[in-house]
Amino acid sequence: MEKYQGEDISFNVKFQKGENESINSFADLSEITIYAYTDGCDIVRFSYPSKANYESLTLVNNTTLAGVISASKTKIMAPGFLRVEVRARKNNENMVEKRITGIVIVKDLIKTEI
Amino acid sequence: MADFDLIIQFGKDYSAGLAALQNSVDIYNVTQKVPLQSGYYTAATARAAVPTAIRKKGLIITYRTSDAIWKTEQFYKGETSAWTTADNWRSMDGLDIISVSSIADLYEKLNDASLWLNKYNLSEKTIIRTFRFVQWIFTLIVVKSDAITQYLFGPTILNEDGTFNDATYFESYIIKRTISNSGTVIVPWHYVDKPDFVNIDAFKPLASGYYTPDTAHAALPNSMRKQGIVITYRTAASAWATERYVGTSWQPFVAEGGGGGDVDLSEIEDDIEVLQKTSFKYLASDTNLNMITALGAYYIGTAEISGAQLTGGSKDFLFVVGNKLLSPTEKVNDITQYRITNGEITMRKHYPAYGNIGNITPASWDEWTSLGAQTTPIATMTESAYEALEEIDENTLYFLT
Repeated sequence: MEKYQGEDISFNVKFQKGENESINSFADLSEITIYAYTDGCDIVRFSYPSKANYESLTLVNNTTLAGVISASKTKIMAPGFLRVEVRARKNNENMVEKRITGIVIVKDLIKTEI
Repeated sequence: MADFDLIIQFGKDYSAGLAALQNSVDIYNVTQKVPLQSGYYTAATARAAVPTAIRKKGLIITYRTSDAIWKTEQFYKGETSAWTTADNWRSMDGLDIISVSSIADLYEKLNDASLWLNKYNLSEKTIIRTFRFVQWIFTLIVVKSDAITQYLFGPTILNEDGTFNDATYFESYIIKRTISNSGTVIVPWHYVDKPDFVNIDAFKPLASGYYTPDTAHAALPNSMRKQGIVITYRTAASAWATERYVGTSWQPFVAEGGGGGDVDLSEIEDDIEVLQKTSFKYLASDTNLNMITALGAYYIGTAEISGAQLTGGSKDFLFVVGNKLLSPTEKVNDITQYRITNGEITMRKHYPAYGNIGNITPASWDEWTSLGAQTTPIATMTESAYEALEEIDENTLYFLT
């Protein structure tokens, strides 16, 4: 899917329990941080629970988080594959997952005022 | 409907484990891991450069100190909180050779304890350093006992397998020094001369039985033999034999003009007495010493004593040592007081001082430290040897044990 610079990009992050994994849901985690980026751009940071300088995530249910990379962010993101890195912390244990979202941000030739 | 959904199944982040694994090293190449922009590491800078996460007991580090020289050392004692304490490190370089450019340079390196002292697990006899001076190879050997450690130094004669035996080290080692096991210098470097008189039973005690002439002669290393040397040895529970080496054989040592088998040691005793009398300066207990001019050995008391009185009872001696090599313009004074009470020696040190510190004040003394029983009486160095030594370090006091 292509998304133009300056468009909102909404997403869901769904948790799936792994084998031999003691974590059953997002509720078992103390902190969740999501980084969204393309090559050569500032990283858009999300955090649950909310904290300063991070975009907010909404806990839809125990296994689903929802967020939006706002137009104000995507308009300055470099064109390219949108990647997401999800980091979670449980006690002193760090977990990390990296994904390519399938979204490709493309250059918007018609600049809209936002 | 979201633009994209991600399904997350957390795996573990092994970055901390990988870091721990990387830090779990037993040998750390400081030069390669923490490269300098220019120049080379020293022992102090190399130790300090080891990252805190790497530091642990037993860690061996290696670093380059010049273009073709690498040093390897181990953090072998103490806690990692005292990581930069030099005494906690020992060299793992083995028998590397230290080049010296002159006799003065040699003595400086010998006196630089950081080069060799406390760097090795000292066994009873261990070769700990080899020095190269012109075409000569010198080796430092340590002989350790419960209370003291002796360092013997001189031209090396080693067996092919790198070991040595008593004969070679008696023959080879021309200077030695004695320190207590706590590191206090008891006798600074001094020349070792072949003795004029040897008590074989004291020199090499037998586990049982008594010496015969043949075994007693064999017990004296060739290197100690010289014309006129006198040996005495026990031949029975209450019988001693004394012989003098003359020409190529041993001859009974008897008093001139008869006397049967009586031993005549008067000549040697006279020598010892003269040396002791002339070498220990008498010092009244309440005397104030000028530390610049007071280098020497003193007997402390209320009256001068003769050599014969030096043994038995309680006696105090003061040794004021200055080492000019450490400071060309100012003497560094090191004051040690020994108290000999019926063969038991205790010592205490005065804080070393630069220049003239005036009087010795009681508050400046360390606590008394016991050195245990010493079987060898203290005698001073022969005058000729002292003069020879003066050429090397004129301000250091030497005496024989």
